[in-house]
Amino acid sequence: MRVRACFMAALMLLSAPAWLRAEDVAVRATIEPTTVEVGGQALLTIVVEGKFRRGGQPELPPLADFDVFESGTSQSFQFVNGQAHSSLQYNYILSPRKEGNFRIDPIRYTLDDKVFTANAVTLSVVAGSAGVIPPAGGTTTPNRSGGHGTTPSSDESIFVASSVDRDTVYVNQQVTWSLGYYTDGRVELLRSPNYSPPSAEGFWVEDLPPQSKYYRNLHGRQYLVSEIKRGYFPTAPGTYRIGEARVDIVLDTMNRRNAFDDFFSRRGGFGEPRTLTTDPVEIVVKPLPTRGKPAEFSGIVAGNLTVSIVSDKQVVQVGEPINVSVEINGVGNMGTIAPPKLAELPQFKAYESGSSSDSFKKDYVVSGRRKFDYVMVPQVEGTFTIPGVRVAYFDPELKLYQTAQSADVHVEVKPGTQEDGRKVIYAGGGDDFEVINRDVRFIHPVPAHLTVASGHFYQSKLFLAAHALPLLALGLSVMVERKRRRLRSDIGFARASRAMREAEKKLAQADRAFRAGNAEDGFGRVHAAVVGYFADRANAPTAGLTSDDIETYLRASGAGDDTVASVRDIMAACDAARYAVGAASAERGLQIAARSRDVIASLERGRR
Amino acid sequence: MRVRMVWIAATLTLCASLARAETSQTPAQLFGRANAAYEAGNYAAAVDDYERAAASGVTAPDLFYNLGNAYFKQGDLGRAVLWFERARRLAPRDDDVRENLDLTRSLLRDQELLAASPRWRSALLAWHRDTTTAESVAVTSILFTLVCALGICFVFRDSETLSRVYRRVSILSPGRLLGLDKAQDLGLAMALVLLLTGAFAYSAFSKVRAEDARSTGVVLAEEASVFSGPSPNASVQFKVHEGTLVSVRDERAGWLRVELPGDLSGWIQEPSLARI
Repeated sequence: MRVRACFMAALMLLSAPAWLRAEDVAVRATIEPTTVEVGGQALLTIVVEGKFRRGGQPELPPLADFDVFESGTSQSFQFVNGQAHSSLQYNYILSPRKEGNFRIDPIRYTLDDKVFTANAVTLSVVAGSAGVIPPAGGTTTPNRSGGHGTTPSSDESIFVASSVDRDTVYVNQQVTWSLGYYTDGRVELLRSPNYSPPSAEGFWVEDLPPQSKYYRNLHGRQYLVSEIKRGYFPTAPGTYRIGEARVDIVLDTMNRRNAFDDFFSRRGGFGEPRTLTTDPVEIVVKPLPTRGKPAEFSGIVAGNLTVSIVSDKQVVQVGEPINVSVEINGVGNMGTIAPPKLAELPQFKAYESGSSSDSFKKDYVVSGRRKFDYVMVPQVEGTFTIPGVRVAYFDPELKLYQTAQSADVHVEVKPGTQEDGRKVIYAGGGDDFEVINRDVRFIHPVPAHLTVASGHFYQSKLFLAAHALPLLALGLSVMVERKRRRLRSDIGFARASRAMREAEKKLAQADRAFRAGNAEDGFGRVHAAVVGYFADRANAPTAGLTSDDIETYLRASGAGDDTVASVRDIMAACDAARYAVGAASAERGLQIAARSRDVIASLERGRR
Repeated sequence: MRVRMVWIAATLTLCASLARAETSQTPAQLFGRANAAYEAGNYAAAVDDYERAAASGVTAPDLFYNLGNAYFKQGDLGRAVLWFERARRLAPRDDDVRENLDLTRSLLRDQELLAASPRWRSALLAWHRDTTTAESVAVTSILFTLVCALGICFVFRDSETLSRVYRRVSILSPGRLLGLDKAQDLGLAMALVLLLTGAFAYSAFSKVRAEDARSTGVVLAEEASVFSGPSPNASVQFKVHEGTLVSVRDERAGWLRVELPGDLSGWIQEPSLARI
């Protein structure tokens, strides 16, 4: 039994929105209708919407003038672009005890330590016929169709009695437990009775509004009976006990009022406290029969169960998600129904995307609706049938297993037209979004030019050889810079380097002088060229450099006798032409200049 | 009778010319027809035409990419990886190629053999991964030329012209910001560019060598046994599955010696594997 209770609790937790996160939450309250009669019913709805992770519990303000019954919750959520958008709805039935205009203060709702408040709502309560059924013919009979439990036998002025509509049920079949508060009007209460419901281990419990009132004649006395009911759903076979209920009252021993004043509206004063209790009730819970149990039976006990399946689209493209909803309606405790399995279709990927539940309590019978949402993503084109959902259940009234089946859903899937062929949608059920349809990106168009494979440029020898050019340039620059530096720092080297160039320049000037008929000037330039060349070569001053000095230099440099003789002849010819009048002729000068060139060139070649 | 013979001859001639026209389609026409087949969902026909276009010697990353797609659609993940890898070599920065290759890899069975390198390493080696061989070689050449040019600048660093240019250019030089003089700054720049040149040269060299040796292969068989030797009688070391990348180290009479991450190596029969 404990295991089953844990299982039921786990189911409750699973159905609770524990995955949500508090963020941008709005809480609002509505009440319908806004005007009711005393003893009537108004539905207070609290809706929590937004992005949040973990649902809380509404804190209702004190509602002393109402009987409050929970009437189920429903939830829905969806993911859009990875954001969870949730909607939680809490339903309460308010049954007013007295007439007047009531303001229900803002309801507080706590989410992840943040407190949100809903708007206040107002309710007008008018006097009406509802509430007390007037006695007919002087005798009132209880307004109930028999039952089991305590038979009121007390002749007290005030007492309580409990009863159940049946004491033998199947697992998860409703047992309606009633608590009657009897008063003959001869006693007065100083304050409203304080009611403690019975313990009910092994049961799933639902309050069953509204409180009813009727007259009953017992032992010759007319009693006003205020009756509340609860639905008990046993979770496992065995014998269980609905414990004793307590009603604490305070009797006004000093005063007496009309016996038929509203039982729950007494206030104030001191008096005699008294505790009224009911007898416990034993319930025998039978296991579900094994005979005829369908293979797909998953434990649903209900009556008049129907199942339907709808899809939001009938024509889609490949990769386009379809929202499919399965709705199960029936009489019984529908909150514990597990999600039915959709038929596995290889052409689709299916994901659970949420669920919601509603419970109804008409005529003290619990019924409900359970809705399961799925996202189905077609993977290929074609026309497909999503088979209807089969739900097997046990009907406790008929004592038979039944199967409800929905109609099939037909879907036409057309080829996708998306460029990238990939569609990402988000499914509920966790914090993380999931890529549902993973497909390759779309093909590329034919390029304007298709190249046929050929050798790569980097495989050609020319390309490799070209890399020598920067290296050569670098080497050359090193050499140039080195020479430049030496020219700057070594005067002897600098003079020697330009010796030939300077001599060539002067000899060219001499040639021009000879051709112009100025032989004397020409010989002077030849002399200057030769002497300057040797002065630069020897890094010696030009002035004062004699033929003997030049000869000495030549011999020291290893020049041959021919060269020495040639230089001596050149120097002699120049001296003769410069100092002997009429000895200079242009023709002779050109010959000497040419000879000088040859000698200098010969010396340069020898130097290298 | 004669008229009939003429008719038959004319029909045969027409059929022959049509057949010739069919077989003499250009790679671009084959490519276009394959694309149309793909879009119509006829992936087998698309593969056929893409393969024929590729067999004609066309080296277009779009063609290889589409062929990979067509194989993927047919569920042939091994060949899809092969052609996506070939496309990636030609267009390493193509998002579609990368995305589809990643998707295909995510569906492979041998996930543990997909050497997942750390993110920092992937980021550090992005330049290597995201460049083609030709680009790597070209960048290496440019960097090499730049090193030489910087060397020349260093040699002539005292010249008036270079000093003038340096004063203008070196505003952004990190060396100057660090307080280095002109020679040190140029030396630092040269060293950095030389380092880059070395890295790109290594990258280019390894790519050229891999291309020449075709040393990377893809398992095409759904499941292939890797033997301890080049013989079916050798013991099976382990098994690899379609799409797994291997390094081909040796080749012997229809057998390839392959290496995988985790010091795994062995011999695999050639039809089970294709070189990229």
